[in-house]
Amino acid sequence: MDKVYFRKKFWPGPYPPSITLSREITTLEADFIKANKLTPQKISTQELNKTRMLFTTNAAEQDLEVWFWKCGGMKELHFHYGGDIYVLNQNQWNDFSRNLVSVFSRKLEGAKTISFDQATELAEIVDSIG
Amino acid sequence: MKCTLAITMRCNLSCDYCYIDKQASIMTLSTAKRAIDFIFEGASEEEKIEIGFFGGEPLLEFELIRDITDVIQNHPSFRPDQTTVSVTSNGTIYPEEIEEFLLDRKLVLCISCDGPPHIQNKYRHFPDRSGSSAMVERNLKQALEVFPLIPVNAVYSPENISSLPLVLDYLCDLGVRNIYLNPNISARWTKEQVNILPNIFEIIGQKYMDFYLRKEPKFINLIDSKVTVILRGGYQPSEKCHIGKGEFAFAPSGNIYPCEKLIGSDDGITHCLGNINNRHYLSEQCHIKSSEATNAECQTCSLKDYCIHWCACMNYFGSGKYNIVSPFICASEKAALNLAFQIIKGMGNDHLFYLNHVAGTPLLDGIDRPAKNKIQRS
Repeated sequence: MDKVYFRKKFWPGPYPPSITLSREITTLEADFIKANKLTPQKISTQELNKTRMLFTTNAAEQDLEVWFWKCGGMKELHFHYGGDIYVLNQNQWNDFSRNLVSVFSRKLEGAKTISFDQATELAEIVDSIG
Repeated sequence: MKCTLAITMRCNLSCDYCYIDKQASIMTLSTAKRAIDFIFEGASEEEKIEIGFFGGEPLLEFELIRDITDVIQNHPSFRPDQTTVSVTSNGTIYPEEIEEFLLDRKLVLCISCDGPPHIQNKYRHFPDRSGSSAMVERNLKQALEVFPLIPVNAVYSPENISSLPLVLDYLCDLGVRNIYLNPNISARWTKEQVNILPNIFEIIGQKYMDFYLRKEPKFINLIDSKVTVILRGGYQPSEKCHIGKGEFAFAPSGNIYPCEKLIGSDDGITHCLGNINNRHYLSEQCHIKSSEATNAECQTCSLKDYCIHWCACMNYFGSGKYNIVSPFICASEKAALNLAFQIIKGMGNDHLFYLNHVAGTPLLDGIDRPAKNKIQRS
């Protein structure tokens, strides 16, 4: 646990959606782990949850305004894969984030457009909705 | 499971673009109880439950909100880590006891404000057309003292799209940090108006970057939500609209609709799935499901996973069909994704920007915990 720490921040709003990544991103992670021979940090999700729980309890005892604990908070360069955490060095992070960006860059190139030529017909429908 | 309780169709405002017809109807507590039972019965243990008080103006019925909150939080299946309860208000009503109530019961208040007085008063006015700006601004400032991350929703219309940066400036000057800029979906957007969206969004993006670099980050939905979507590789199934399956809106009459935007006049026919007071009717009628866009362009679009083509109510208002995307939504989504991508690239290797967005907490490093209560608890 020595390389992981949480800051005392609170998220008092609606829950953000759970973290789920697309298959494309998880494949990218898997390939990156393999290429860089990364090994998971010995921090299980269970341990993280335990830390969060302890933190929440401590905060409550201090009468801090704990509304909802949310995921997030680990400051080190890392990503999650298969329930494990992989910590990266700066060079690895640079490579990984570049790969991440390139995934979407390719997507943008293949974007299609719904033409406004259909708009006249649609506008009539919209007007009828009122 | 996302459910909206439109507890009243009364409203003290008469906003130009409102999609709910004004009526005197108020939900009874027994109808609300049935709706709450329905929600908890329908949600799995792992599923997040979002319950929103809506209207009309829900704070006209503040006592009813208290009573229904009791029902929710005393329900045998209620778990505070699973359920979020919110109130969406037009900001003109701010009862004295509201702050203590929201803090004690852990409800989230969302306020609608379209921006500076000349815009707010034009679109969000009282029935006699007098403006609501002064009242909303006063209440918003008061709310921000206790709830610094209060979400504020600003609707932009085709005629004032050029003023969107002014809207952002106004809200930021008030101290708002959690900003939702949403289009008027019932308006008819022209090609010319849509064509300027990328330029307007770019200005919003520059302001966003300025705030971030000054270490005063703002959450702006059209940027932050898309950054998250891009970094996660698209919307995941749980994030999409599940109208008629995992998303319901309950009108005061007990009629069930797929989304609060589709309640309309609550005629019990148009979009109606059934009535919570007559449950067998629901199962027969509950056939409206969120569906993929059927536009030919969407089938081969590489941004399909990243866009809200599945939002049935947005589609309905834009095209008259749940599953046909309008040119406006297509252009708007593309402009927002482009902007978010430019922001990501502009952040370079700022790993905290990445990590916090992937985690779904984009403001995590820019905020402190809520201000200590100004309320003295006994």
